[in-house]
Amino acid sequence: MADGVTRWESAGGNNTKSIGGNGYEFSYTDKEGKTQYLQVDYGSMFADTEKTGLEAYIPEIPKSNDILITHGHMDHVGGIAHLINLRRGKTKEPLTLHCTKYSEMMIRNNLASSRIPVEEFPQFHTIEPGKPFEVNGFKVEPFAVSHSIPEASGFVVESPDGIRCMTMGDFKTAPVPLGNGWDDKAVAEIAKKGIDFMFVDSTSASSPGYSKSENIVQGGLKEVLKQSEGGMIVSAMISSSAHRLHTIATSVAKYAKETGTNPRTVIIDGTALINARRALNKCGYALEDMVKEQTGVDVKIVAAGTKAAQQVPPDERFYVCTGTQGEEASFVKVAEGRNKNISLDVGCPVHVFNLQSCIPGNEEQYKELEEKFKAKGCTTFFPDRYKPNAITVHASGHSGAGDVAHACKIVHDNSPRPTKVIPIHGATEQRNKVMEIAHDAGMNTFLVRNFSSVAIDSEGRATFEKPAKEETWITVTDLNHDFRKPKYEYARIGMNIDERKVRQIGPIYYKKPPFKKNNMLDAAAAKKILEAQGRV
Amino acid sequence: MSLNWSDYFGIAEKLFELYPDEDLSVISYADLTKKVSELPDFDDKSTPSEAVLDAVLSCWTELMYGPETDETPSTQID
Repeated sequence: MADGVTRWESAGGNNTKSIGGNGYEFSYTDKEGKTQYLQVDYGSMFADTEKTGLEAYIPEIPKSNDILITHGHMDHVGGIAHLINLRRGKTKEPLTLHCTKYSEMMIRNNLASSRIPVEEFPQFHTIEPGKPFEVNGFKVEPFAVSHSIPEASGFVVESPDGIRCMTMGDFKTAPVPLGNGWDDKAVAEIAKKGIDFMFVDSTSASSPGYSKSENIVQGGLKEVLKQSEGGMIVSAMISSSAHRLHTIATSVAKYAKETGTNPRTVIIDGTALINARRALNKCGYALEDMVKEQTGVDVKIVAAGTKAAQQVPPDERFYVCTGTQGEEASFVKVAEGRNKNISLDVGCPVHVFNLQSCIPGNEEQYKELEEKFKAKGCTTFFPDRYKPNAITVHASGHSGAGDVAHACKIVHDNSPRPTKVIPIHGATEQRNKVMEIAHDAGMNTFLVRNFSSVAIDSEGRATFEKPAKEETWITVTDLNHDFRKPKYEYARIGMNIDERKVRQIGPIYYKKPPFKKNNMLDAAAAKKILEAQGRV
Repeated sequence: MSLNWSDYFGIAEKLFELYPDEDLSVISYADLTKKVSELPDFDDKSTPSEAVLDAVLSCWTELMYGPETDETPSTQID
């Protein structure tokens, strides 16, 4: 035993109603007082741009040059582009992200969308479940978890004192169709080496039972197909929940096989979905081949706006759009007749299915979206979040109470050391529920607030350090309000924890990236190329 | 002014003008590299990294379908 202090700190917005800006920091201070750091995730939190004028909040700049990434959702990785801006010219140390390939693809998309120069992209260390590595004096063992996005990970982080902390990431225990998912045996094996602390996703812990699997959604989608015979389907999903694309294609194939009909063509529309599909291909998830192998049926997945999409008869189209909540994206553009790729005036009935229920806070916008489709003569199905629905078209990516109990039991039954549970990533009510579940499993539990920390001595004894009275956040503003050429401005604010009052601390100056002059093709040059291609 | 690989957004803008109905969900690196090398203002003989090619595709997609963050504040909880 090295006899130092291991510390875990909530360095982001993990524990309030406003989930987002996730970030945690592990550190180890040795007997000489030297401290090493290791960050987990660096996400963004939405700032309600219309009300605040801000793009987002991000956590304080991490002390570590290495970040373990649990998965590619923006509330876990959305701060990285801004971190690169803020580090520019201030350090020569490379930033290294330890993540799965799919997470890397999501991060790279976001960096390009933020116009970060490619030569400044971080180094990526591709991790695999069950393959440990060392970084900054910590031993790190990744393990697969199931979530709505493919290739999500949890980590066991072991300090030089041998203190082992399990951070679950966002998780559920149901199987997932793409890549590795939750594995009881793998988690039990890791737990056998001892777990001192377990940090548990609380988001959906108030929901009874287990979170649903994608298999259940397949049944719902076959009902969607049955109800839409002879008409065109227009649907929307959360694009990052990319398992759903596989579920849709599989349902189309199975329905065609069972009914002896032609399989519909799945037509995807919206930037985020096109990016997600491309990322799946790059990571080896060839959906069409997978579906063919599983069902024997050829299902085509094409991008909207392409010739291949236009050639599909309307009553054989299954459109999948972005923008389930009515935000400015593909789905609302269809409803308002602004989507150049998808018209509702196709000479056959149009059946609209939102594959996501209304999220609290979006009620008005969600209802308006449905009404817009109805006004265009479409039939609609927009599931109710609080009532049983005739069709199940969505499965959450977060663990219900059953999943939390399941995970706690495996760790409790296998860890030779007593494991203490700390709920994170949820409002107080949800975190209290995790405490109740863990307590029932015979485990000690502790509630920690945002920006508080846990100090653990070499014997595993913990001291809970009180949070400061004020949270510190970095605000992000795009002064240009132009996605083609964003001009970010950063400032530090303090937020009183009890009263939620904001105090301006001051701007953060940073070195701008090198300017690129984007000159468009002149008309003559463009015409020459198009003529050469036989396109004019 | 000539274009090189480091100006991935500039490349994307020109590709967007020339190929308005390309299926960007499945385009190969080889096809993309060929299209870029044929741009009249392109003047870069170096071999592009996958990161550069993906950056071009991300921006081209954004230009074709419009900017999106994918996740609203609320989708993170589902």
